[in-house]
Amino acid sequence: MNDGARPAAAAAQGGFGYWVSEEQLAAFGRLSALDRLRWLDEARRFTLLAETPATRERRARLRRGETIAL
Amino acid sequence: MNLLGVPRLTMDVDLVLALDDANLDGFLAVTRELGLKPSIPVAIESLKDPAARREWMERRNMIAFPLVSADPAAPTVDVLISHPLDFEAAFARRERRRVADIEVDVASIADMIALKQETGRRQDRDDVEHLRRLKP
Repeated sequence: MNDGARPAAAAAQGGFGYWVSEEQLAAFGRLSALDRLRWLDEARRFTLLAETPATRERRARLRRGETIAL
Repeated sequence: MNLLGVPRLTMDVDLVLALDDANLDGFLAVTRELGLKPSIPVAIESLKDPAARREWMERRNMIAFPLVSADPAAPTVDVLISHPLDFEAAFARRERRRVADIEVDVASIADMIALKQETGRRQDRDDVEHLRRLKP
């Protein structure tokens, strides 16, 4: 499915992992709700600016819970 | 995630809506105002049709109805059509955040964990881990 609809993930574990340290969580927790959303929107817009067709496809695969391993 | 306190990049806004006609009529009016349209080839009004939602879930394995703007930089808005929450109970447990002059309702940490626990996506598993680390 390539139309942007999010399916339930396949049984195989896919997607991406991440880790936020205690210090980063504490620092983010001190931001106002508006500043948290500003941070998110800037990061999102930067990602879009740097995106290529290949990275867009990888991002879509990860969002669907698939892997991008070759 | 971000409003609850976890810095986590996402390109989407997920919404859990009461799926009654009156609420969906109000929601559809807002989508028209914002110029949001489905990225799947169906009429946005079909979101109101329980049989159509069931068909999307059962035949297309869909869990979210995606809405996009004509502005390519705008985030996708995903309306969750399949989730484990009892809406009324979750709405009663919601948390409220003030963003500038706007009150925004977000799911409670417990409900966010319930939403993300069984998806099978690694990022949701990590989201659950980070939500559990948040200080009350």
